[in-house]
Amino acid sequence: MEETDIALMALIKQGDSKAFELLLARHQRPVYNLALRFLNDPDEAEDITQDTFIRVYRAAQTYTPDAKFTTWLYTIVRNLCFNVLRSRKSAEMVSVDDEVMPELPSRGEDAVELLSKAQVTETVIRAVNRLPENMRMAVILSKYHGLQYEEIADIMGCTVNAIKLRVHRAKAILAKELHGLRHET
Amino acid sequence: MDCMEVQEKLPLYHDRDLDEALLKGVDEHLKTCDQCRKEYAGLTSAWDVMDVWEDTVPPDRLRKRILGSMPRKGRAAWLRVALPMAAGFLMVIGVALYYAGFEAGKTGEMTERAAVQQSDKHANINEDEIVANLEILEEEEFYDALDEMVKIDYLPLMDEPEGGEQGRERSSLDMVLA
Repeated sequence: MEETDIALMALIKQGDSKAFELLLARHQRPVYNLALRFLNDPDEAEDITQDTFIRVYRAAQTYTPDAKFTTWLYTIVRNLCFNVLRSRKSAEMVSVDDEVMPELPSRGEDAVELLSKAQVTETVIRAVNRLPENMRMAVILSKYHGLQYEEIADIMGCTVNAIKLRVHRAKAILAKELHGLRHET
Repeated sequence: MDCMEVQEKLPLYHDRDLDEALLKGVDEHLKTCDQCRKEYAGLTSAWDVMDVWEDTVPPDRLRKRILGSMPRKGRAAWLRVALPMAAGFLMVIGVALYYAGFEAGKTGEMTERAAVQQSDKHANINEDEIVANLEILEEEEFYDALDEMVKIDYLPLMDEPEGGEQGRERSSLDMVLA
């Protein structure tokens, strides 16, 4: 029978290194992809994945399963990602207001383009990366990690309504940005 | 419901995050309005086309890197036991050596003091004896030396008087005594 994440954490607390390896195998990919999609930098995504699992290992001694394990795990990833963004901003000395909507060019109502999959992927990545940070994180967690708004709200530390608003606004923006986009099958 | 009202609600409708009455109202509107239907199709297709951004497989080195960066639990546990033991052992040895050294010092000091006292005692005794003995020794040596010299018959004499053996002995004795 497959051990739950919480059971694995209890085993890690007892010094079971195999349990940690199992937990790593189970969550390495989603953690890496969340950081990669959000930051769009493979090196930083690797660093964040490593930092996340080091924190998980260290926290095993004091871990109490108050929430779903993934909620707790993604909260760590989210915090680390935002730390990276903060350090990027201070390095670039650029101030970005999270609530300011970017100007998104409309693709035209009937413009249907048949592009290669790579081109479409590139367009999607650019469109997502242009979203404000909090909106981007909410969209990634909802769209690519299949999380419910309640769980996203816990991860982001805000209300469910705030998450709904962000995702709905993002959908409206992305609809304009990606309207009529198709790729060759 | 008019088009503006419906289009505002399309993202919520896409999530089915509307109450029954509103869901039904949007449904009815979409059946009759091409423009709003097109808007909704655009939203749905944009959301769907995002699936093209697939997961990336993390590089193999990442797993090794993470496992390699973990603190070694076994070693840590071993150290957690061994370090306090070693520290305790060293403390015991240190304390033992300190007291041993102190006792030895104390004993040594006492021995030294006793030896000094002893030697002082001996010195006090010996001083008088030595002085007394020295006089005796000097006297004895003097007379021994004298006897020896008396027996020597070939001492060079500056002025050897005439008159044989007796005269030579007498004259030697006279010189020594002088």
